[in-house]
Amino acid sequence: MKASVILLLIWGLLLSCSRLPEIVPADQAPLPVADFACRNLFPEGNWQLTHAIEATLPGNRKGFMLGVTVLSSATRSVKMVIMTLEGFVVFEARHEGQTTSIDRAVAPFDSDAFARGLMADIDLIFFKPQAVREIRGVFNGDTAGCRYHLRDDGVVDVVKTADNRWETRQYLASHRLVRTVKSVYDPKNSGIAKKIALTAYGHPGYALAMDLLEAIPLGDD
Amino acid sequence: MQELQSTAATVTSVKAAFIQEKHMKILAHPLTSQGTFLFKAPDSLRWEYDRPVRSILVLHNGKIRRFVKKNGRLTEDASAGLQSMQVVVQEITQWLGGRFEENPAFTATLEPGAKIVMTPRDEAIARLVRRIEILLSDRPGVIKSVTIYESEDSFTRLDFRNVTLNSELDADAFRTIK
Repeated sequence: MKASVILLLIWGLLLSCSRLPEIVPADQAPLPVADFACRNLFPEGNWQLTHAIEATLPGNRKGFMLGVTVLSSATRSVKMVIMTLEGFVVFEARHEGQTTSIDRAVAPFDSDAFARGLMADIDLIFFKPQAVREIRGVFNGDTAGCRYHLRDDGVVDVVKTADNRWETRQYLASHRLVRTVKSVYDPKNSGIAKKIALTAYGHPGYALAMDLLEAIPLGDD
Repeated sequence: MQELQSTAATVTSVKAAFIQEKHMKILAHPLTSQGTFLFKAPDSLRWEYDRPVRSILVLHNGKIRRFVKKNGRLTEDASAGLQSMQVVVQEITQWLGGRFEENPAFTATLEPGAKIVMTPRDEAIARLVRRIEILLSDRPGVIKSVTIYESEDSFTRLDFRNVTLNSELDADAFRTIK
């Protein structure tokens, strides 16, 4: 048990030290990259998404919650509610523009840092990166995907790992890997993943496993 | 209220199915859950959801535990949110025993239509729970529904169905989780 925990820590450390892989642009790539690569990976329009969330916290402690996310891809605005499985709301917040407003928060979900971190994770999971430069191409000689260069010199790679499976990797400006999001899509419901697994590296690291329970399209604003 | 208390004192166990609806302003339609509820006097409780997520919340010997089915296995929940549930669940066991006035944090009022309204006395609790409405059934000792208002537009309603009183419940239901 102790050995497996140490191995996991080493694995996490290695991943967090991972560096930015090279991308060969599509026009020079060794294999064809479809024009539509990286499309339909994020919800378009207005949606209400309900997820069962399993959080893995330091010490391998598990916590289970329900999350309701109401989002608009046009305005990149989010309303987020976290509740216990019995329906008691422990966190409710809105994010519009650069502003996060907390409407309700019960300890230990009542810090500004938690709200900011959660909204940043939601942004990474559900919205196409806001890039100053976008490259479609091939990673490591054999994996199609897209690279998004961000305004703060950070980078987000979106990589196809198998049919209907994509992985988002977020790097800081120093090119240190800080987040991965593994998404599994239902081929009939493009843009909305049925399973999402986010891993946050660093100290303390954590992981969120989100299973889609319900996706309701909402009308235009 | 005293009459309710003496009726409830004869209840040794409750078994019921429930449907739960979570209403919030941001929800396009309510979030619906369902499951089974077991209570054995004086203070053992099993609150089990079949959907949308299979989970079991158990209170036994003053200790609360929650298990969630994930990848075919039941995993124990160690989240901090469980502590607040202990308060809620202990409160429910008091209601089932007819002890509506036992908790000093709430004022209980019997209103027309067999409705008990519990209002928090404490400002800190009032920020979390505005009020709780307990609707009693025509059948003595049976609670028809519980509605917990977190605000006027955010509330959780539990409707109990197929209620059986004073049946023999297996004590293992509160000790062994499967």
